[in-house]
Amino acid sequence: MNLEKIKDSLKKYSSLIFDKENLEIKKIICIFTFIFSSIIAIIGFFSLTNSFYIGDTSLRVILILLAISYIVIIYISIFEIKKRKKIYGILILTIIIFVAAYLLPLLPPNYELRDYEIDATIMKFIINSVFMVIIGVVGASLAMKPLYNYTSKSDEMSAYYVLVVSILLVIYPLIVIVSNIISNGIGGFSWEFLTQDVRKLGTQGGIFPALVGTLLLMIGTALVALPLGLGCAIYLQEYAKKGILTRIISICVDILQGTPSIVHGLFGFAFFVPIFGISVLSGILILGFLTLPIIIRSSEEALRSIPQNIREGAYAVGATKWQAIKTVVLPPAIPGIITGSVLGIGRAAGETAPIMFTAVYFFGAGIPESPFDPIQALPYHLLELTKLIGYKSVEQNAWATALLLLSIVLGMNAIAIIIREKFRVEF
Amino acid sequence: MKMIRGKNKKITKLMISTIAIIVVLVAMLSGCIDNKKDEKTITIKGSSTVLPVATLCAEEYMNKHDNVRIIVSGGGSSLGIKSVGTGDADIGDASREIKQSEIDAYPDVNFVDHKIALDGVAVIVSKEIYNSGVTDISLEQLKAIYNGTINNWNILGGPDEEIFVNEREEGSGTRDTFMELVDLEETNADIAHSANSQVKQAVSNSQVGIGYVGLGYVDEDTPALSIDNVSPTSETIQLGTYPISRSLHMYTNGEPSGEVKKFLDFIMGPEGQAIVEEEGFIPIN
Amino acid sequence: MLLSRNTKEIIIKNIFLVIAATSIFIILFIFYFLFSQGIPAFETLGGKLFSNEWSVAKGEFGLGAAIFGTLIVTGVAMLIAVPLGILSAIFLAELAPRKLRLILKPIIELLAGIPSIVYGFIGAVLLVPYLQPNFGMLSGYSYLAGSLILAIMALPIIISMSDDAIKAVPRNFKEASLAVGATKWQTIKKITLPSAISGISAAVVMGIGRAIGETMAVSLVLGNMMEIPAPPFDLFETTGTTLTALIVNQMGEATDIQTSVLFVAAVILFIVVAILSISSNILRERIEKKFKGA
Repeated sequence: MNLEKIKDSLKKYSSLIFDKENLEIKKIICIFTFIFSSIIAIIGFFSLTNSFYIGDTSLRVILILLAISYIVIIYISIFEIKKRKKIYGILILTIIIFVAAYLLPLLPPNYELRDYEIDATIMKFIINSVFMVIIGVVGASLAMKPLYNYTSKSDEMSAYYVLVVSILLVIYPLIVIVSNIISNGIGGFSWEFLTQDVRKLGTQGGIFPALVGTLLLMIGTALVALPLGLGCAIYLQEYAKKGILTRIISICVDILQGTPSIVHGLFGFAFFVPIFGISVLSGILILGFLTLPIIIRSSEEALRSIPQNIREGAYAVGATKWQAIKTVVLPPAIPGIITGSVLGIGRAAGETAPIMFTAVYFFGAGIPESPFDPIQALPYHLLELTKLIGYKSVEQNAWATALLLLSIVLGMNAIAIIIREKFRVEF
Repeated sequence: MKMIRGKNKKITKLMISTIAIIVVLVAMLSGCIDNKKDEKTITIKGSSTVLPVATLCAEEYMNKHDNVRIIVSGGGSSLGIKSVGTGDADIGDASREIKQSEIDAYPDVNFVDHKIALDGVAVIVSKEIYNSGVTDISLEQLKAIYNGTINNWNILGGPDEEIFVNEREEGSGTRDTFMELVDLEETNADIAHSANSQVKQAVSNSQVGIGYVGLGYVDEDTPALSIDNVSPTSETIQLGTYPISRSLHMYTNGEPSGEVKKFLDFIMGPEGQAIVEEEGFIPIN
Repeated sequence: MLLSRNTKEIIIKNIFLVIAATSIFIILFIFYFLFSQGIPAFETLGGKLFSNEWSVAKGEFGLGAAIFGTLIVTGVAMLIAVPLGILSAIFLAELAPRKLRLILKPIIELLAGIPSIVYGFIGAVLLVPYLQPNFGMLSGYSYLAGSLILAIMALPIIISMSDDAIKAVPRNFKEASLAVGATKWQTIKKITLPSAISGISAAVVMGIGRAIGETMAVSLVLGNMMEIPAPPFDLFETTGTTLTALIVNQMGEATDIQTSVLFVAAVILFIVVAILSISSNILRERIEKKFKGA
């Protein structure tokens, strides 16, 4: 009885305060909560990655503010929707936030996991930051719901928010990595860096022989893998009959493509090094075999994308198989073939494990005089510098080497993508 | 179709010409830089303790002698000796004496020992530990730390923190020397590194670390403890009072001749020994 | 040349046949060589190859710790990368406006192109020093660091292939759903995703393959000890290695039996990747069959 009376008077009261402008206020509150929640998530994320704590009082204030805005949302929503069930989510969230606002700042500064045999200590700020991120994201996505009156459209907007958060989380490490490399590495770039040999254990001088070595490896890889790979692809795609044999071959090519680069390195170490020694030739052969399946695959795809009627058109005017391939199949396939090759060679340029014990040294190899001489290479140079950090002051050169290597590899990738887009032939 | 062909011919030409230019550039540059025809190559492999000295000496030597190329790499004392045995290297660096089993493994090889420096295996700790008062350690305590019996710095008078124990990989001469000293066959260390520099890196980055390195790797970032109150200094090592003293060796197959001999003479001469001292090791005179 | 057209054709065809045969021969030879080099280890050590005891001095070569390391590091990396990757792929394929997609897709491909040593360098210089103080770890070198780096490395493949898979769902599937009044999200949830599941699974499989085969990035952030942490799921302990890191660390100095053991490790990796490859192919064939009619 009493409950009914209270409800009725509440209803009368609210309809006095909120009239048509109800909708506007709801929108403002929801958007405010959404933005505020997101900001909390962002603050939490940055405090997590940059190791700072916003302080107990700030945390309390923020969380209480958030909880209050949720209460307002609940209040507004209660009169709008028929099914009470839909508010339960927000209700529970609000309760959690209030509890957290009280509890979290009271946590001990460290939570020793070593009592449970785990070698870590969870710090208070980590727990709080993670909590902020989670609550921020969940809260923002829930705040969308009242905005769309709890229909399926609102579910959609909540889901979309989560998707956006995902892609942001993915891009974040990329931005961190690239920006760090550029900002730390650009300072080490100088004419001296690019043209001089390694000096004083890598603290001074430059990377010229390593650059030359990497270029030689790239050219050599192309010379080994392109003819073999393209020829193989042409045969498989144009001449061979599709059957069990071609399927098995296809599987073998895939398996080789997925084989870890260290396995290629081990193969080369046991097979090529006893014959050719630690030399640029060994390195080229190993990297060539590493790149072979990539070129086969991408060339096959490029050839496959040429529709059959193009070939048939050529046959119809009397061309032989090879004439057809030479004149109408290969030319439009060339951009795809080049794209795949450039990507493959770019990848080979960045490989460390296959060349480590088979082709490169850190110091002394210089510019090779013959294919049987060893070389230096950028990826291995970076590896050795990484191991020296803390002992000798090689950090600047390490960042610069990373920047140079990254530029070469990503530059190759960019060229490949541009070729693919610019010379794309539509049928 | 004509347009397609034209476009693709263009990019094919572009690609080929770019590659041709790069190839020509590289060939020209390499031709210009190294016009040495009768170049002799000396290959040096082995101990990471000797590596900095060997590399810096090689650099100095190559600056003065245009016709020699010296390749220096690490891999550990065992690899160094093995490389001389198999002929993979002209000089094998080692921070320990060659073992009888190694001499026996290569019966056709006459290992000749060239001592190029004196060294001590220093026990380094993170500077926070050193500054908190832990500046000395006994052999027993050292042994106990490395076999896991002592696990907390407070037992040695330091802070109440777990000890971060760093060691070297199997095959390291420094490890062999150290293990012989503390009389251990196995350890209970936290992490194994493949070079002195990485041990130093790890101890420096940690606040609670301990590790063993060659003398040249000690500095104020990673100070050395005294063992039973004997500090690793030039005097104590030369006198032999520091318990873990050793020589740094370069092994060759037979008596060296030609460029190899000239390089070894250089290292053992005044310029080489100046580099030895600069790097923190002790000249052999 | 006075050869007839036919002869010239046959010569050319055979040239290509020889080239193709050479390529295939190379591939098969690599397979054969790997297996044959691993046999001595099997003969000498047999089942002990898979134990947890590793000591070069004593001649014990149990790969157990490395196998465990590969499994746990890949597993945790996938736990992070798969949900994140699929969600991002959905964003890319269904939600992103055209212009945004044109920018984002190359950015993701760029991520895929970063060399593994650069990831290792960043891991050693940024990630490891970050973990140690923030989690009170003895040292940042840990399975946790390895998993995080691998997750970042596997993401681009998963996103890229899942995006392709979602985009490949025929338009009329989606349009039919929208026509009966479903929202876009409901369509995605109930129609698009289930249809793309084969392609997405293929993407995940390729991601696993990439993570398992990673060498330089993990070896620079792990403790490189042949030990299993105690308790095993303690990702924070400074220890651990993977099959790939093991090979790269020991390759230069290994003796005969040890080298053979490394080949066994390589063969294990090889077989796992082969199985993943074949599964991925089967999954992708299923998609082709499914959408053939559409």
